[in-house]
Amino acid sequence: MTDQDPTNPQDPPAEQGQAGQGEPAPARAEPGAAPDLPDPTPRKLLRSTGDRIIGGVAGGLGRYFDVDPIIVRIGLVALAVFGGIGVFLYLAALLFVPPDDRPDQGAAVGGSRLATIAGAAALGIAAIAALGNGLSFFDAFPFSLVLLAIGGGVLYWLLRDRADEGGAGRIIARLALGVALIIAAGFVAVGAFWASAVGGGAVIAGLVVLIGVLLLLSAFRGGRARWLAVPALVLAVPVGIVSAADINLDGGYGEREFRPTTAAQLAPSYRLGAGAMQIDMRAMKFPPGERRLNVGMGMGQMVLVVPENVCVTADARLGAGYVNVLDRENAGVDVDLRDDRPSVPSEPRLRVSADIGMGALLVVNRPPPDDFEGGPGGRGPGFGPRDKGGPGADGPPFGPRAGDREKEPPLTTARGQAACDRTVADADRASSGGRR
Amino acid sequence: MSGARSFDTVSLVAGMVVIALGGLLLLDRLEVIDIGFGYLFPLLTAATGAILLAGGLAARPGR
Repeated sequence: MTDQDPTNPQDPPAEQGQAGQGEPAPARAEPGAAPDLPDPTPRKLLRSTGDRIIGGVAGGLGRYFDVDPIIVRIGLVALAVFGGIGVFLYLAALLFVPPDDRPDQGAAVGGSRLATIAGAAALGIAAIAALGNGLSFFDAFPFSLVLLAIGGGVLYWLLRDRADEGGAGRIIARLALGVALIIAAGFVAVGAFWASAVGGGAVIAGLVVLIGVLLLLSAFRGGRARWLAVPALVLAVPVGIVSAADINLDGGYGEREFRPTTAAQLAPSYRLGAGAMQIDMRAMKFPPGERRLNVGMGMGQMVLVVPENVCVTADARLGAGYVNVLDRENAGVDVDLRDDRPSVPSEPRLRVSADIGMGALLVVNRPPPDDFEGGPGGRGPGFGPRDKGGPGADGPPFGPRAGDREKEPPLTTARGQAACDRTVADADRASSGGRR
Repeated sequence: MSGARSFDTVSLVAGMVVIALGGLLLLDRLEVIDIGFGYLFPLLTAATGAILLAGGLAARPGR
């Protein structure tokens, strides 16, 4: 018999007692203790109250598997970001894994356990639906946000009485409240965005200033209104985006398509608030000389389909998005595309002036197909180049699906691209001939 | 006494930042200045950072 018998309940190793209360027995043996004897107390997965950021799940898992909790946290965050399953796993661990300072509390969080589990499952499913790859982001996003907000609110309502009791109930209640508040802030931001885009930006900016004044006044009263900084930023961000992109939703919403067949039918300017507009000018016979066309849009996609023999120059400004004028393209934020080629009076030329808040401007020789991402009848805003690699070219919602690029003919023909070069060459030739 | 009202530096900083931010946005909406994304992102980041910094410094022990 050794000096210390680990099987003797009167003389247990110090770690055994801790393990029984939540601390796992370390693998190392004390000097003089019997080597390699199995730990009579099975290791138990418990949430750590000493090493925790939210609920001690990562700390408990790290201790259980004898790995650094930071690695576990990184893994959970990665799982939460890529698919959302990390959130579900964390909530499940909060519910079912007891903390190490309350071994008898168990996983139950009260009589509303079933509702709690259902709420957590709803949150997890909504997160997966919002972030998962199986659903279209734009299709699932609004529904998932609503589901998340409702789930968060219901969960908090169910657990609000237990918010002061500590443990999983308190943590989940606060998480649920946080989720509900974040989603509510999102809806406020969207409302502020639309209000600004339809002309109420000055009012909302004034409201931001007013909140700032209230914050200043509250500084002399103990700072009880610090939280006002959050709604101020929630309002300021969408107003700022509308201002930076110069989004103006005047002009209506929806899809518009125009097919002028004569020069008289082509209006000097077209405007749409939000949606998609296509002006197909292929049936027109452009007379020699320059024709000006002004187009404006708050948000969406503008497509100008021009005959192949027409040289197109553009002065386009986009707050954010993508512009392609016969394969001369630019993308990003504060996008400008200017093309001041010399005019040839004997050749038809279309000079396009475009002002688009957020979206895309395409000047092409062939209309985009119906399944084009973002085209008239398409699904997305179409911020990306179509037929070549570049910003947004890798997939929806900012570009075409990968396989589509190979089978679709180019929107801009070689003849269309050469039209401007030919007119420039003609101009050079004419000028050189004139000199002779 | 808990009834004494103290001065809160965080609210002061946040108030000034929010007033400046809202003022610039108001000027843009009134077409006095033109704020592009090149200015907006640093502006919002700086505003948020200033408020967070003020809150973080004020929360340090000894304040």
